[in-house]
Order: sequence, then structure tokens, then C-alpha cells
Amino acid sequence: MWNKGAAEFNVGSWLLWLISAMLGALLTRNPFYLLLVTVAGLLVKSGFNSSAGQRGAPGGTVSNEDPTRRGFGLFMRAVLLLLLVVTLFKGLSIHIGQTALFTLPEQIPVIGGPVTLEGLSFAAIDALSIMAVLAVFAAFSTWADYYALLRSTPAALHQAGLITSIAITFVPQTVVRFAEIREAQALRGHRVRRISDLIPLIVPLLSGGMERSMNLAEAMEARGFSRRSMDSHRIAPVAVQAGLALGLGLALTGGALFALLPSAPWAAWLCITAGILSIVLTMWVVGRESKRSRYRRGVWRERDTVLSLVSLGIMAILITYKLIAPATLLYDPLARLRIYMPPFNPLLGIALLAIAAPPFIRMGWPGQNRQKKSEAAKEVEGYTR
Amino acid sequence: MKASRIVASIRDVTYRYPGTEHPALRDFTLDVEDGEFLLVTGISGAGKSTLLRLFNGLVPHFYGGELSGAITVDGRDPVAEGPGEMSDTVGLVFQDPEAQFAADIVEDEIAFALENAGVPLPTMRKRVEEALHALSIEGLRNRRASTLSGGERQRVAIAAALVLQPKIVILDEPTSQLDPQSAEDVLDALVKLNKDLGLTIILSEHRLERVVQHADRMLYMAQDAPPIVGAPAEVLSKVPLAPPLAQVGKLLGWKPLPLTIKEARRFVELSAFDVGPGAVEGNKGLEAESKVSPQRTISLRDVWFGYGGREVLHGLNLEIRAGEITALMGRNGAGKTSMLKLMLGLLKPGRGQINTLGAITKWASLDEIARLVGYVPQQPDLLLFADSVQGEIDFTRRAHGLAPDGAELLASLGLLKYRAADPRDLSVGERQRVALAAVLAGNSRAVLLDEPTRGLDYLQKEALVASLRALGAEGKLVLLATHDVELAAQLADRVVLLGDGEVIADGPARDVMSDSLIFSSQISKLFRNPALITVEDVERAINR
Repeated sequence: MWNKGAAEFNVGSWLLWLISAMLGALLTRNPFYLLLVTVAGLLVKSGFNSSAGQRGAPGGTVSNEDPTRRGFGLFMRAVLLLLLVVTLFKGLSIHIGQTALFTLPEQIPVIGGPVTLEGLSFAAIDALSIMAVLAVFAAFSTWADYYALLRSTPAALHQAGLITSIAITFVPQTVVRFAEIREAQALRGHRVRRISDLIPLIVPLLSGGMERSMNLAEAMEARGFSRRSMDSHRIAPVAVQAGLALGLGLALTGGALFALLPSAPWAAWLCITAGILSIVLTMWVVGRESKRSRYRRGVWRERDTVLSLVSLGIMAILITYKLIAPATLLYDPLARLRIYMPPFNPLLGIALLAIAAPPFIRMGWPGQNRQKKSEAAKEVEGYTR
Repeated sequence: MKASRIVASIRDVTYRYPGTEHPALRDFTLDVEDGEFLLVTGISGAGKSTLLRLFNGLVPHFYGGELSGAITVDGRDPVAEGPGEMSDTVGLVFQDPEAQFAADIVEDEIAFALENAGVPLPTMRKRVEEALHALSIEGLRNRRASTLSGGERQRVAIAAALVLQPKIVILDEPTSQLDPQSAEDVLDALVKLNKDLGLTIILSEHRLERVVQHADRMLYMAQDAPPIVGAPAEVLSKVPLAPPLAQVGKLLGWKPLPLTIKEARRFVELSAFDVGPGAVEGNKGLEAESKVSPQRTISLRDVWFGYGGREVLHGLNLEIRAGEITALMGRNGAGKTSMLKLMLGLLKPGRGQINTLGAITKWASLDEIARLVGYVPQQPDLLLFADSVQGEIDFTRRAHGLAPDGAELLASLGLLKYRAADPRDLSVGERQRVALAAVLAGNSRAVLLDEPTRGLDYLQKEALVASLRALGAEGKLVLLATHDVELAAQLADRVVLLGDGEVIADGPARDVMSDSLIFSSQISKLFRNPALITVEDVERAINR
């Protein structure tokens, strides 16, 4: 069992990948590039599957279906459906362009009028760019270790990060539970026709969620989540609040100064910097007081270095083009009022294709951690009771 | 037991939850010996969960309420210190394997308590490793919680409770949500910890047949009577809740009461108790296949089904008939739930055809099927939303276009006195029956139940059995998917055994049970006689 389950990559390198892929999806508005990003995202999402198979239970009693994933899948399907409707509507409601395909009766509000190829393709590119973002995000979340991610927050935010990580695991469970309730109530003859018909679905969902939260809170309490030693900071809570309030106040004042004193932007910047410093300092002091310790320092493997370099490369190329030749990244039939061939730059194409790198990098470095692991195991065996 | 060291003591404790009139515990006194395995049992609502939460201060710290009396655990006072501080003395494992995970990855989950205690990293690594080792779950360390089976989750939860090296580990019905095999895995792990490390274990459980042989002592709690503590055999002889084996022992006057099949077999060999094959009474005769019309059957013809690239059912042929109660049994993942959902039209077969009381599920709308069949899900709480039991009934009847009614139905399920009660205030067993009533109110001709006895005690189970029997006698089609062999033995006319998507055995309950080693009731294992598979059978044989 050498593979790291969800944590195929270190949180840091995985975040870098996310940023580079997101840049690819957000900086470009060109069907070729967006398609490349989408495909790369989907490849990454499913790309680890060869190794995921090995995570199956040896006993064979585990159901292969992971409810978390199923919940996420349902959510994605809903988003895609919504996207399709919105895109169609948008495409029909833009009446600009030379190539009119057909005309809808003028009496219909908003969408009535000539429907142009330019309008439709504009809407399609919009949809494609949202798809690209979704594909990247889906890939990221499929393999991100949220828990590790949230736990890499500064110590002062540890509590907040932990609670958020728990909240996130609740979302897919809730989706699955909702589907179960809907099925069970439908078989009882229930149909949703009015808003009030939602009550038989919402009440069991909420009461179940409440019960679950209570159980979890109790389980966490029993394992010392709110131990008294945690709260006995030497610094008074008032001091912490004062520090944060001062910082926020300064930052907001800085924002206001931009408008009030447009002639002296340095004053505004000074204020904002001081505010941020004050917040960071307060957090640092609070963090130092925290008696909690952390279990897993992230393991940084060779493949993380490779992924980081690849991600930085992608970012560099994208940003360079954005600065020197932004037109290559775009395709805008509406602005030119006519359909034309979208530009394609091979270097950019390669850079965007590199977004699909993670599974290949991962395959190239399989047994990296195996040796270390077995050494660690040997070491602890000596202590075992 | 000799003068062994007392690790925890409760003296004259009375506790009342906030906003309630009756105390959950009254003048309760108990000593727990160091290194013992104490089994806590009793009818639902007798205060078992409350008692278990006293040891680490969750009661009263988490719940509030009024408490009097004294509690000492390993020389500490949980009421003064609170659950957080007590976490290194008392580890607690809860009932629901899904709702006690704070982390996503197994290793992180186990380290959670250590992080809270601020244990430095090198020590943490060692402790996590030990905990994994103690439960033999090293192989799971990098798995996501959502990919674990119930039994694996519970073992991880035990490891997570063990990691601070507590003196006592307390488990609140840890196996009530598990199938027999997973439950056994968890219990074996506990017994090993108890024997190898001398860990004190306090465990509450409804299904006594699973645990009673492992316990050193047993505590029985009743609502308005003083608790009984003692050796398991002794306590079992005095209380109404007992596993089938002990019930038969009591009937036949066996002393000391046997706790395992092995012990009981000696009595069988010694006694002259024997019944011939003619003793099968009221032989729940199965209707001849040809006579039953498709309106009264659910039939599967060459059904194939799979999802996620995995074949769940392959080429299944089966006919479930009205007028008999059928139990669908098999291990987790054998395809029981998929099969129910296929019959209900919630899933569609990849190949083959399912005819549910005359409706072909492939084409029939959910509305159409809902008029024919009722479905009670594993968790009754998925259905319940109204603020009264009557409200639940009215809702179903309205949905089916029927006039409000239901007094008779509630009476037949023993729920009439709760008519105006809020379902959420009722016990699990009662809620299960309210869900059944809510489903039956639609006048469906069939009812399908998924694992109906999860978390029910013996008395609640009796009540459910009576209700379902009445339905079968009315000529309704009753099908239950269950792990519970004792339930199947008591209730089912016919048992269908699924294994890896195929029907392995199908026939009268008596024949299938007496022929199987695993899917067999305690009594059946003891006598190995198709005429004797339940306590009732034995009773009848004696009276004959």
C-alpha cells in the first residue's frame, strides 16, 4: 500500500497546479485553448484511476461506490444542466452579428429577433470557459486532500480550518441523503407541486443533519477537541480582539483614503499595509499560544518538485502572452461582428496541454515513498506493545 | 471475582436531562473493576447511553441538566474536569460509524485526539502506529473514511479512542449498524484488546447473542427497577431480555444458563429432549407457483444490473409471492439493496424484466409503482416529518387521494396511544413502526422493508414481528432485506439467500436455515433440526 490515498501530491504543489490550470481557464477566451484546458482537467480527474483501483478494500466487503463522489457527481450534473439552459438563453438573446441564422418572432420578450451565429458562438465560448473552470475544479477536488489543505492554515485559524473541513464533508453526505429522502417519499406518493410540498423533504433532511452534527460534536468532544489547556491563552481575548479590530480598521481606512485623497495614494497604501501587518501579528501571537500540535507535516516528494516546476512554467507562458500579445488568447466574434478562424499558438497549446501532467508525473514516480515507509514501520515496531 | 482494583465508581447518581421531568438515572451505583469486560444491556430508554456518558463527563457537560452523586474514574472526577480533560482516561466509541469522523484520512482521524492534546510529533507517530497495530488496521492507514465499510470504520473509531492510551474504552452499541460478519470483526478486536492489554471495556449492546459470551460481567438496566449486575449467565436467568439460546435454556431448565452453542450442546446431548420430523406445525405452506397471478407477485426474469463498472446482479430469476413473508438475506454488497430498488423501479435493470405486481418497472412511472408497493427505508427518519403520528398517516393518504383515516391501522400496529405524539419523541422501535404505518396508509398490496431491525432491542423486535406477521396473514406481499438471522427465523416463510449477485439458496425458511452454517439462527445451530429454528418451536415441542 504505497499510494497515499487522496494525497497523491503535496498540498503546496497541488495548489500551484490549481492556480496554473485556473489561469489557463480564466485568461483565455478561445475555443481551442478552452477545449484543451477542459480536456486536460478531465484527464487529470480520471487519470489517477489506475492507481485508485488499488485502494479497493482487500476484504472485498467495501462497496465500490463512494457516496462522497456520488454526491459530487450529482452536484456537477445539476450545474451542467443549468449551464446548458443559461447558454441557450444567452445565445438566443444576443442579436448582434452579420450571420443571421433565423429570426424568432419579435413578440417574444428578450429572445425575439434575429438569432446570429456570432451571438451563439459567443454564448458557447462563455459556456466553454465555465466548463473549463468546472473541469479544473473537479480535478482539483477529486484528488485534493481537503483536510490537509485546511490544516495547513496558520495555527490561529486552525479551529476555523478544521470546522470548515468538517463542513465540506457534510455537503456530499447531505446530497446523498436528500436523494434517499426524495426516493422514499416519492414511493409514498409524494409529489412536489407547490413550495409547501418541500416540507416532507426538508424536515427529514434538516433533522438528520442536526442529529449527525450533534453526534459528531459529541465524538469530537470526547476526544478532547475543546480541552481547557487550549483556551488558557496567556494573552487576554480582549487584546486579540483589539489587535484584529485595529488591523481591519486600518485596512478599511486605507480603502477609503483612495477616494478621499486621490492625490496621495501612498497614504492609502501605508494604511492598508499597517492594517494587514497588525492582523498578521495578532494571528502570529495567537498561533504561538496554541498548544495543539500537528500530525502530518506534508511530505514533499520529487514528483511535487516536478509538478511545481511544470505549473510555474505554464503560469509564466500564460502571463507572458497576456502581457505582450493578449489578442492571441482571445476569440471575440461579437467585437468584430463576424465569424473568423480562432487564432492558435502552438507554444500556448503545449503549455495548456501540460495541465494534464499530474497523472503522468505520478506514474513516472511510483515507488518513491515505499522505502521510507517501510523504514518508518520498522522503527515503530520496536515500540509496539 | 476477588478483590480486584476498582477503576471507576458511580455513587448514588441521579441525573435529569434539561427540560424533562423524570430522571434518566436514579440513585445509581456501580463499580467497574480494572481490566473487566462489562456488558451493559436493558430495554431502550433505561438510561444506558446516559450511564456510558457519565464516565467521561459528556453528561452533564455536553447535555446540561441536573446531576447529584459522586463519580470517580481512575481517581479523577469527570464532572469537575469535563470530557476534554478526561479524554486521556476514557475513550468513547459511538453507535453511528459515519457520524464520528472528524478527518478524511484514517491516519489523521486517529491522530485527532493527539493533536488536541498537543502531543509532540515523534510521540504522535509512535502512538498512531501502535493504535493501528492494536486493531490490525495498518492496511487502512491512507484510506479515505468514505471508502471504508461499517466494520472498518468502527475499528478505526476504536483506534482513535485508544490512541491517548486510556484506562477505559466505552462503546455505545458499536455493532448495532453492522452486518454479522463486521460485528464479529469489531468484537474480536475488542476481546483481543481486553485480553492482551488488560484494557477495561464497557460496552452496551442489544443483540446479546453476539457479545454475551465475551463479557466478564453484565449490567441490566430497567426503567423503574434497580439495575442487576453479575455474571452473564446469572443475570440472563433473571431478566426478560435474553438471546434465543438463553431463552431455550430457561425453558428447559438448563443450569447454569449456556452462553454459547458449545455449552448448550452438552445439555442437548444429556437431555432426552427430542422432536421427530412430524413436529413441524402450521407448516407455513408455500403457495403453488402456478396459481399465483402476476398481480400478486414480484417477478424477476433474467435480470442483469451493474453500476460503476461493477456487476451487481447477473441473470437473476426470482418470484416473490403475496401471502408469504420472504426474507432476502446475504452479506453486505451481495446486492440486497440493489434488488429492492430494482423492484421499486428506482433502478432499472440493464437486461431482463421485472414485473412488480403487474407493473413492468422498466416502463412504469414511479407514481404507478407507488400505488402498488410501499417501501420502508433502512432509516425510518427519512420518511418522518410531520409533528404527529396521525399527520404522517394523513399525508400518505392525501398523496394517494384517500380519505383521512388510520385509527384501525394505528391500533393494529400498537401505536394508537401515540396518535398525537411527535414521532421525534418516540423510540427507534416506535419510529420504525410509525414509518411502517405511514407506508401502509397508502393501502398498497405489498411492502418492502430494508433492514428493519437496525438498532431495535428484543421487545421492539417482537412488536415489529407481530405487525409484519399480521400483514402477511392479510395476504399482503411482505419482503424484507435483512442481516438479522433471528428475525428471519422468527418471521419468514421463505428465505432467499443472495451471494455475489446470484441466488444461492431459495426455499422454506426452515430448510434454508437448517442447511446453512452462517445464515442460521442460534436455535437452528443448536438442534440442527428443521422443526426447531426458533424459541417458539421449542416451546411448542415441549407443550405437545
